[in-house]
Amino acid sequence: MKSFLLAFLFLLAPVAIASNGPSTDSELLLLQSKLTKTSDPLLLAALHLNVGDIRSARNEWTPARAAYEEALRWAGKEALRSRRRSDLARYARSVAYEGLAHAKLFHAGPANQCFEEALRYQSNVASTWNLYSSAMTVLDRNEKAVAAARVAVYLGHQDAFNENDTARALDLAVYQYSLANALARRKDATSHREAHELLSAIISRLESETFNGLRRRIARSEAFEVFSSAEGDESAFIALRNRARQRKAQLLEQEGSTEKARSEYDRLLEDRSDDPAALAALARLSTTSDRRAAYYETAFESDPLSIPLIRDYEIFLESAQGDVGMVQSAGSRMRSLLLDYRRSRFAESERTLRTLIEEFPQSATLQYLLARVHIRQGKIVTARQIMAATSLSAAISSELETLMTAHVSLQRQVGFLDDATDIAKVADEKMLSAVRSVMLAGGLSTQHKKSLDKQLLRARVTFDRSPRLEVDTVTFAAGKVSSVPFRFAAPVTFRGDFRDVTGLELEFRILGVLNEEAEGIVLLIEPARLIRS
Amino acid sequence: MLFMVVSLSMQASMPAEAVALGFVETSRIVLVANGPDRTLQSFGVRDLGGEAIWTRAGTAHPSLIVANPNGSEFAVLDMIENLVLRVRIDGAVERIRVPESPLDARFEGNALYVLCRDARRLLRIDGANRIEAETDIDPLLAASDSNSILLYSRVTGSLRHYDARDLVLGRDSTQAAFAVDAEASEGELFLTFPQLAEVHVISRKTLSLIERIKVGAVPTDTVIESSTTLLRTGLLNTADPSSKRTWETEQSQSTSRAFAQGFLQGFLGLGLIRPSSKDFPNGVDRIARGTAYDSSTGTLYRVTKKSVKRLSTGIPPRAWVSAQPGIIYWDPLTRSVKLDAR
Repeated sequence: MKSFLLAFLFLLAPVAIASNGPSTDSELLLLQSKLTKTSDPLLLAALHLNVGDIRSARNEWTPARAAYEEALRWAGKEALRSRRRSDLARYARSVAYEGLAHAKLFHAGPANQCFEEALRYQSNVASTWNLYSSAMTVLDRNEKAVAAARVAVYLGHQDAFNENDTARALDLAVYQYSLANALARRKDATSHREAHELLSAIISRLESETFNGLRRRIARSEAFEVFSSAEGDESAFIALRNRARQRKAQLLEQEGSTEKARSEYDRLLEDRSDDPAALAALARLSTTSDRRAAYYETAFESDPLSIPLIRDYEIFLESAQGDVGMVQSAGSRMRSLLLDYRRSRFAESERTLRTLIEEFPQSATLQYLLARVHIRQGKIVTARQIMAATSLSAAISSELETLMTAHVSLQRQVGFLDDATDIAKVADEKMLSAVRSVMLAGGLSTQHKKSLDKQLLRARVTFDRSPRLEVDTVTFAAGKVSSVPFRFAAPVTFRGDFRDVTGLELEFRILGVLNEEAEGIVLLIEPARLIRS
Repeated sequence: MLFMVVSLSMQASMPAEAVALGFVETSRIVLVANGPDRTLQSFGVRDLGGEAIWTRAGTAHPSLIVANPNGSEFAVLDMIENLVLRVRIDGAVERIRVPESPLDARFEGNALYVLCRDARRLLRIDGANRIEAETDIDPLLAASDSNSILLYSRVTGSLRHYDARDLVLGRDSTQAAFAVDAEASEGELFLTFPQLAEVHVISRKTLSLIERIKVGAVPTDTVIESSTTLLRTGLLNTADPSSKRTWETEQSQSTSRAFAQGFLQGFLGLGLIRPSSKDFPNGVDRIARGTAYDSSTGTLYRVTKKSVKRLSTGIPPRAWVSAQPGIIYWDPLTRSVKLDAR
């Protein structure tokens, strides 16, 4: 049972990228097989918690919730049974599991109540405090997590153990990791320093002679996978070493110690070459576009459905071409759809998404992306239907709501395109800025596109310096409507005396938007007439 | 929130509803803090079925209500949100942010002492004046009076006296660790140890161990039924969920005194009642005068000399009090406050 207690810690650690790849598939299969073989309610609760964590890490919220509810049911049942049988140690453990399941379901009050109850019987048990700390981390009650983890570490130290007692040494390292993890979530430098020291101590302890035997066993079995539900000392050791290095690297990265962070991530890849978190971090930290692209490619192969990785990659695409090459694997399809999305090719994005959804029907990540595609296409109702049918995290729901609000607001601002007229409409900075944003987002409806093609606009303009300024003609290439820059497809010569460039009004049609290095996003316009107002 | 809140009652063992209840004897006012409704309601103890005297905005996770013995106010603690509501009986509410995890509180006169466990802070709040002192790890509020506050650390076993006026640390001692309950009489402190199956009697004056009393298998809560008098030795009642009964135990006594008291008890016909394990199918782990409570199912019992009566089940752990008029409790079935009169 201890191994499962250890396991929760790893699952609860906020890692940059949760693993969605093949390793969790095999782990799920293993857990499903164990679920069919055991009748022990407490073990069933533990297994369901593990299943929930893996599903949650894969952004499969609906099955994750179902698994946590099952865990809650089994733990609650066992709590009552063991209490009736006067097995109070087991009662306390069951109530702690119940508390953890409540925490995973974001029931803060009941979770807290369960752990307080468990500690009435097991205040001397470090692992119960450690679970309490983990539950509070899930609930984002970080100060409570720090306090509980400190007690766990204190008790872990009280358990005098000799140098060769690897199990107890591993337990203490787990509690120290919990504490470091909670401290790292604080904002102050003192806490970060303490977290740093703890993580370094954990890593050097795991590399000390105490664990020689364990490391040899791991080397013999060629074990490398970082199972979320670490079972047995070998798995726990690998998972703990991986998480401690990862957390340390993240701290270094946050502090701006890029070289040291890179070195830690490299060490992670030595243990496991397809570690998605390390690959994504190395992509982030790479200085050349080619190297970043290469790291992203491998990271997506390892973990195609990670939202943090997707976010990272989208930032990368803002300044890179992001060629995908052969589109076959789930990872390459994900990169391809993100590239299409970036280029406002929403029909292509949606097509690729549909193929991925067939492959990963329970993934909330894909539903989230599908909702985004629909929002960008102006299909707000469909996006809302997707949101209603999918259990999305608060952060993701909020992001989608913001996108929808922004889209609706922009559509309102380009409302002047609802009806195109033959008369030139006066356009101001706000209108043109809205058009620019909507066009950039690819969010213009077909009707608005038609209107825009037809609608003549009129605005007061200032031109950039003219390449040729003569008495009866003037040639301009670019200018601004207030702060909104525009450009003609080619320099245009206007007939008339425009030597005084103030007080000029231009009638024009909008052709599109350009991304220019110097000016940023620029409107491409076709001039019709230049008038002195 | 990541997930929708699901119905808890069918799935969990412990009562999940966050409801706390407090009562002041002097003004005979009952205060109910209802987490799901986020309300505070006050009732007269003789009119619990009627309209609330007043209703105010409350807090999401009320974990404990402490009454001022002078009858003027309550303190409602929210351990999750780190909030204390100071509630006067006329309905005035002051919301006070406190450090992490307000676990327990006491009134001494107008001063409110709040123990914030996870921040390791003891607070003294008196109007706008606020004093803080650092505590040991995992502290419990063991005893208080107008002169001092006594804290016990569950994990280290330390006992520390703090001056009630300025929270300056005074005497301290180290006792056994991992007691889960501290009960105080005027001169003594009773610590209950589930793992040791003992109640330790500590002198509040010297902070030294007076006596170890073996009690049951896994004792979890002790109440002082009676202090030592000429007629009787001090009597403790301890809940033991493992043996599913409560244990009445006497403090040690001199032989001559024991003989004299035994004679008098026989003469006057005084006896001890002991509920049998069948009376408490799941055992009870919390106890108050004439009352026993099972946290695993939220079942509340009235215990008299002759019988044990089950009052209701599914009651949250802090939603009942045993007081002079009777047992006052929140009944989750009717979602109302009830009085089981003495």
